[in-house]
Amino acid sequence: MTEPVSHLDQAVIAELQGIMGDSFGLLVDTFRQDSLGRIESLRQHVAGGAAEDVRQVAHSFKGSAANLGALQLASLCQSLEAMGKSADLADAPVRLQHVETEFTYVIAELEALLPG
Amino acid sequence: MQDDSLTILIADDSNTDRLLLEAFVRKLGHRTITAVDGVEAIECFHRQQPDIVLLDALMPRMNGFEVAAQIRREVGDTFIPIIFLTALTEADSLAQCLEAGGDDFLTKPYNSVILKAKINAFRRMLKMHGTLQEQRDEIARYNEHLLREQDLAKRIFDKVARPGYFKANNLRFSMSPMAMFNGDILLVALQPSGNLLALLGDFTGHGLAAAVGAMPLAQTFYGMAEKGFALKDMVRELNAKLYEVLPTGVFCCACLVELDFEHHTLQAWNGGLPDLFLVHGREQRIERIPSKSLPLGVSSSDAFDPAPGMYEMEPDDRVFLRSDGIHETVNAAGDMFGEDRLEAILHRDIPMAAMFDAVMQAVNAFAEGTERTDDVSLVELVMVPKQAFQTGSDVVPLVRELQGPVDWALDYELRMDSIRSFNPLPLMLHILLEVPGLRGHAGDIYTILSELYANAVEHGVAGLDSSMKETHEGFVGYYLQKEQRLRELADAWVRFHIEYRGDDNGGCLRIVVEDSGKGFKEVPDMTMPESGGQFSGRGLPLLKTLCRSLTVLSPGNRVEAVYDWQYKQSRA
Repeated sequence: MTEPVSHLDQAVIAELQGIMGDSFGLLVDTFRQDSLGRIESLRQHVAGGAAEDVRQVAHSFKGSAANLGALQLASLCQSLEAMGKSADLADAPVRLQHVETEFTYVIAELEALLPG
Repeated sequence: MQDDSLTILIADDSNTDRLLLEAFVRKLGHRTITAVDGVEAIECFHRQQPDIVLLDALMPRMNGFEVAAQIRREVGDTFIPIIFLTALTEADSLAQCLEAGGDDFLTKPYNSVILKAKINAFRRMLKMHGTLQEQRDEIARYNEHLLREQDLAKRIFDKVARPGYFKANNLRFSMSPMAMFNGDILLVALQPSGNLLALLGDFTGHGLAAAVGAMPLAQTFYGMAEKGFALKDMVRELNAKLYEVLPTGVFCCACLVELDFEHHTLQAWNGGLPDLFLVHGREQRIERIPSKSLPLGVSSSDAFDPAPGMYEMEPDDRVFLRSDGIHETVNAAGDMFGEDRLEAILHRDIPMAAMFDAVMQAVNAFAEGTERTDDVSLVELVMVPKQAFQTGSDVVPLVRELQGPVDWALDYELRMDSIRSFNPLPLMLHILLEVPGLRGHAGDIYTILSELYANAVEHGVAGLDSSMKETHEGFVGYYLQKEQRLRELADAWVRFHIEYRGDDNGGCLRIVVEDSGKGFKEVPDMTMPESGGQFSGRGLPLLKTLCRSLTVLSPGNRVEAVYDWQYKQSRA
């Protein structure tokens, strides 16, 4: 039996839990809401071809994801940010799909850590 | 910042990151304020005055760069560390954070170890900056205090130095308006004899130290000049006074000169100042008068030599006094003006009257394009015929006596040792000037006393014949002979008998000077001599013009002068 592949950096998570204490749940909840909002606005900007907006939202998403130890998610956001920056959104819909998928893994794993 | 905890503003539009950073910062023991965009960040900053600001670069309404720039503009000198929060990694973006006024940046993902290290580093800087500002403010307060004291010192300095005869028509001088701050001082006084006295001094140090020294210097100088003390006595007393008053290391390089308009002589003493230049116009010769003594206030011992040199001057000859400002003036290339340049100007073929301006112009031209470090003090005194000399001012005596003795008599006898070595005139004059209103007649009184005393000593005690003085050689011989006779005499005396009666309008002074000599062989001719400029015979006939009566009492060893005076019109 193999260890399930984690989408989170466990060391980061451990530190966050230590620092946030009881507020860890609030952090996860906030991250979920932030992220859903960002995914929604990324969909709109990609569809509308607003490359600069894509760059900015992807940049912020990348920062938050990194802060929560979601390194794969942060890496996907960064490639989306790069597309925005180069104003070439040809591959952006596919990459955004990968971001959404990765986010569902991440948030599931985070919520699994919460009590009750 | 009483304790170690700081108030830290966190501005980030990302709820997740803000929440996280807030928890990080609180965990480190600091208070947090949070803002969700740039505008709110500025509001929070105004309201809560945080110690450190953590700013996300990209925020709605107002981005982090604008927030940082505005905070920097507002706080001026106050140190508020601004740390940018960023997921940026490109070097030029990070540079942009710093250019916008950021002191540092913190990259996502946040790391609590790095965050702690940065906050601690800035806390140390804040403390250091606070200390620096306190010290700066303290220095500013001290400086303000110092400036106030210097201003006070300057006012005292000016008052003390001011009552001099600076408008005399044979005097020109350039003293920096900041003279007090380079320690230069000029004093000009008139002897009761009509001789002009000038002192140029250069104190070590400046400001208060110079002002402190200037007070006894000026008071002693003016006080003694007014009473008719000889230059040598003044120099000795000034030295003793400054030595007594000034701390070690503070002293006064100075020169004193006395111009005698009657005999056209100059007495000059130089202690530590650059050579005086005595310009003889007719001979086209420049005589240097170097320092031959320690400055004033250095030593009370024999190393200090108060004896002035005696020099002859003709009308229009002039003597230049200066501090080291002129030869130390530096040009743009760093060269000093020096002695040679100065002397070369005086040697130039220009009218005597143009020399002063020529020197000043040359020094100013030399220093053009530089920031002057030492100001230039230059004084020119010209020998003029006695009748051409004008004081140019009515100097009000330092003290205006309202009350004093009005009815008294004084007997004073000088024995041989005193006659040989002591000049009684300042003492007698001092007593007489205590009489209300008599100060305005000090010149007359001095002349009467000095002529009667000279008559008693030279003709009476020493038994000399005044006709000897008719030639210059005879004049010198006469005084040599006087010294000789006074040395030989064992038993002789001169008595002053002075009576005074005064009222509100004026008074009457009766002075009788008697000597132990044999008296005159014949009653002297009391008419004025036909020509001026003769040395002999001037004494007693001159007195006759000053006094109500002048009588030689038989057998000729007693002379009585009666002097009436009235309050001058200008009496306040």
